[in-house]
Amino acid sequence: MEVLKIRDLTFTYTKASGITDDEKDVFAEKPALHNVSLSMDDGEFVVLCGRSACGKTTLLRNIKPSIAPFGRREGEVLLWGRSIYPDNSRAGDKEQTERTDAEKIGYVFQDPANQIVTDKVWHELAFGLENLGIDRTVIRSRIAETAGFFGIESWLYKNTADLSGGQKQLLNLASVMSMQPDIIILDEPLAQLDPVSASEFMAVIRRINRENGTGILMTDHRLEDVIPMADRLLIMEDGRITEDGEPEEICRKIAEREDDLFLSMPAAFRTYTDICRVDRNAVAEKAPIDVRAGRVWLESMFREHDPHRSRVYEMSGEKGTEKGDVLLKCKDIWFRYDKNGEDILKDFSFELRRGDLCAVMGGNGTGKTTALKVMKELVRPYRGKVSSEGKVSLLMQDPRDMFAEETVEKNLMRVAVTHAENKEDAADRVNEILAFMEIEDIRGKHPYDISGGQQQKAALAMVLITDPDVILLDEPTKGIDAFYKRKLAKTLKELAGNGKAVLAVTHDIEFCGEYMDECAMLFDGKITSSGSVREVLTANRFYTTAAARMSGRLFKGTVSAEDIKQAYIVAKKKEAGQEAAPETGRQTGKDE
Amino acid sequence: MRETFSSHHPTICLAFFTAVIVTSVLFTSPACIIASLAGAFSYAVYLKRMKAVKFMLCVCIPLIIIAAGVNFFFNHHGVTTLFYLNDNPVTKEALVYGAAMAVMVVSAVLWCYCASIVMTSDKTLYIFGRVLPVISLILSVVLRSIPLFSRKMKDIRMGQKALDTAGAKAGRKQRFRSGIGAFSMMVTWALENSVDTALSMRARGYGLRGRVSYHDLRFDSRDVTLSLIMALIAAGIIAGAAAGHSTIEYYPELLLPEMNLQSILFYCAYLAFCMIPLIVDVREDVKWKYLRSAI
Repeated sequence: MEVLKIRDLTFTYTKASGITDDEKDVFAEKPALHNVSLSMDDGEFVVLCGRSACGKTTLLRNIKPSIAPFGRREGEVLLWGRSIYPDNSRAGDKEQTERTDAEKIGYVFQDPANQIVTDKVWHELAFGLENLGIDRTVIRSRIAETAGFFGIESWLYKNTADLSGGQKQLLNLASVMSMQPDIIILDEPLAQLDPVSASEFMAVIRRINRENGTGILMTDHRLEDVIPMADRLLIMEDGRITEDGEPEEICRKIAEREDDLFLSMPAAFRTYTDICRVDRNAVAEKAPIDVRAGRVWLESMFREHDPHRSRVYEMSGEKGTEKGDVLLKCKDIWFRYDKNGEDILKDFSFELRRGDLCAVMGGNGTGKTTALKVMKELVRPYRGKVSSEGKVSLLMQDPRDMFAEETVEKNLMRVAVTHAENKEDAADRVNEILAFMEIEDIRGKHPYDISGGQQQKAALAMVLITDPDVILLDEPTKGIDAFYKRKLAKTLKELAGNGKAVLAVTHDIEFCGEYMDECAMLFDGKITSSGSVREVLTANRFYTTAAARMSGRLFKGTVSAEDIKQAYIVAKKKEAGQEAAPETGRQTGKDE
Repeated sequence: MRETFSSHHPTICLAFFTAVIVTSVLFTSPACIIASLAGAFSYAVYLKRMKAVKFMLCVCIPLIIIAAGVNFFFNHHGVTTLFYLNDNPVTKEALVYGAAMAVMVVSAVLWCYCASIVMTSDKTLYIFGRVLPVISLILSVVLRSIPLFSRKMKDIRMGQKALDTAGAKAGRKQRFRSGIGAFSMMVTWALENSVDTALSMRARGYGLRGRVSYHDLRFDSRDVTLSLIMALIAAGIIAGAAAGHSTIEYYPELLLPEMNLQSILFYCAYLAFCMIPLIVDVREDVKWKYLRSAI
C-alpha cells in the first residue's frame, strides 16, 4: 500500500525581496521543483541523493505542510491517498489535516541542537504528545516505551544542553517517534555527527524501519553506510528526479554517467567500478555496495590465493620521505579544564614539520579539539611546553564561530587588516584569497546566508589570509559533500607543498585515507600511534577506511579505492607472470 | 545523594518554603528567630555539607556582625543606656534589635538557599504549568537557551582569538571592535537558531488546539501524610501567633515574653515546623541504615 504519493509536484519560491503588485515578479523565475513524481510504499526505506542545492530540502519540506516553504505549489501530495494540502476546506477538516501532519509525518532536521525545544530530555519526548493533547497516562507509557526502545532511560532526566551531538540527534528522532508517525523524513541527519554516532544513528533508523515498519525518506552526503540499507535510491538534479530504482542499479547508472555524484558512492562500489574499467573479467552479476559484498567479490578475483598464509601484494608504506624543519612542537602536555576535573590531555607529545599534511584521528571526547586549542595557545597546559615557529592559525569546528562582520568580504578584510602592514595590501590580499578559494560570488553575502560548504570555504579563506605557517583545522569535512571534500584536499595539498604545515583533526577516516599523508591516532589524551597514513590505517582493524577493511586480507597498504585499483593491476600482472613461470615461489613483493 | 524531602510533591515543597520564609520575616520573637535559624542552617548543612558551613562563616556571620554593629552604634532608640558615644546614647535595645534583625535576614537567606536547591527547574515548571501552561513552556525554552548561548559566546570569542583578531596579540581598538562583532554575531546566531526551533515546534504540532501540560507527578499517600502533619503544626502556629506569642516589643524597652505552657508549646511547634525537611530526610536515612543492617 502506498503511504506517500507525489504527483507532478512543481514548486516555485516566492521571491525573498522586491515583492510588487505585479503577479509575475512575485515568484522566482525558475521553479525549485519540476514535475516531481514519487511514490513510497508502506515501510519503504528511500534515500534521496543529489548535489548541494539541487532541491532536496525543498522537496522534503513540501511533504510536511506545517513547515512547507512559501511559494506556488502545483500538483498533488497525498498521504494514504488523501491530499495533505486540501484547498478551502471546512475548519474541521483543516484541523484534522494539521493533526495528521503533526502526528503521522515525522521530520528530523540537520542541526541536532537547534530543533530541541525544551530543557529536559523527558519533556522533549513529551512535547509533541502535549501538543496533540493526548491523555497523561498515555503520554507516560509512550515516553516509557520510546525511552526503552532508543536506550535513553539512563539520561531521561538530564538537561538537553548537556547531551552530546549524537545523543541530541537520537533524542530528536525519539521525540518524533513517540508520536508514532507513518513515515519519517530526515534531512541530512548525519551531517553534524561523527562517524561513530552516525553509524549508531543509522543502526537505530534501520531498527525502526525493520522492526516497526516505519517508512524512511532521507537525504545525506555521507552515503557509505546509508546506501546499503536503502530499498530505493532516488537521484535528484536541478529540481527533477532523474533516477529512481534499486540502489545497485542506480549506482551503476551513476557510474556510467561519470559525473561527480560518483564520488559519494560507497567505497566498495567505487573500487568495483574502477577495476571493471581496466579488467572486463572483474564484472560481477551484482555490483557490491557494502564492505562485505566488496570483500567477497574482491577475494573471488584471487581464488587461487590463500589469504591466511600471505598477501597477494604489499604496497610500500611511505608516500614522501623528506622531512622539513619542525614548526610546532608539543612536549609532554598535561591539560584539564578544572582543577578537580579529569585530565583531557595526558602526556601528549606531537611534532609538526614544514610540508606536513597530517591528520589526527580519534573518537569523541579523546581530546582532539583541546589538543588544537593547546597548539594555538588558546588554553594553557598545566604541565609541558608548546613551542612554535612562525604564525599559527586555527579553523574552528563550527565555521560560524569565525565570523564577526556582516559580509564575507568584510570578515576577510578585518583579519587582513590585523595581519597586514597597510590597508591597500590588505585589499589586494582579500581579492587574491577570494580568487584562490573560488568564492568571489559570495563576497557580498552575509555569512549566515550561504551554504555550509561555502561557510567552511569562507572560514578557511579567513585562516589563509593571516598567511600562517601552521594551519590547524578542526573537523574541516563536517557537513560537506564529497565533491567539496576533494577540492578541500587539493587546496590543503597545495598549501603543504608550498612549505606550510597542515594539521587536520578529524573523525573522517575516509577523507584521511584518501587524501592525507601522515596520521596519528589520539586515544585517551595521548597519541597512541603515528606514521604515514598507510602504516597507521592498515595496522587498524576497525578504525580504518572501508577500502582497507575490504582489501585487508588480500593486500597490504591499500587505504583508498585508488590504492586497491593499483594493487589489483599489479597483482593480476604478477599472477599472469606466475602462470607462465610457476617456479617463482614468493608471492609478496614490492617490485612493480 | 538523594533528598527525601525534595522528592515530595512540588506543592508541598513550595508551601513549606513559602510558609517558612514568610514566618521567618514576620515572627520577631527571639525564640522564633533562633528556631528558624536552627532549621535553616541545619537543613542547609544537611544538603550541602561543608559548602553550607563555609557559606555561613564567610557570608552570614560577617553579615550579622555588620548589621548588628551598625544598628548598635547608629540607632539611639531605647531606654536602657549602656554608654555614651560622642554624646549619643548606645542602648541595650538597639543591640538586641540589631542582632535579632540580622539573624532574621540570614535565616531568610539560608531558607532561600535551601529552596533553590530543592526547587529544581522541573518542579518550578510543574507549578507554573498548573497555573499558566504557556509560561511554563516559555520558561523551559529559556532555560534551554541560557547554557547554549553562553557556550556559543565563548566559542565565538575563541574563534576570534584563533586568528588573533582578539586576545593578547591584538591592539586595544581591535579587541573592542571584535568584542562588538562577536556580540552582533551572537545575536544573529540566536535568531537563526530560533527560526529552526520554531520550525521544529510547528513540525511537532505546536499550535494545535487542546495542548496539555505533561508531568509525571502524583500526590501519593506519603504526600498526604506529610501535608496533614504540616497542616496540624501550622494550625498550632497560627493559633499561637493569634495569641500574640510570635512578636515582642523591642522599643522603647525590651520586654521579654512571659514563659508559660502556651508560649512554650508555640515555640516548640514552630521549631518542629522549621525542622520538618531535616526530620523527613534524616528519618529516611536512618531507615536505610536499619534496612542495610537487617540484610
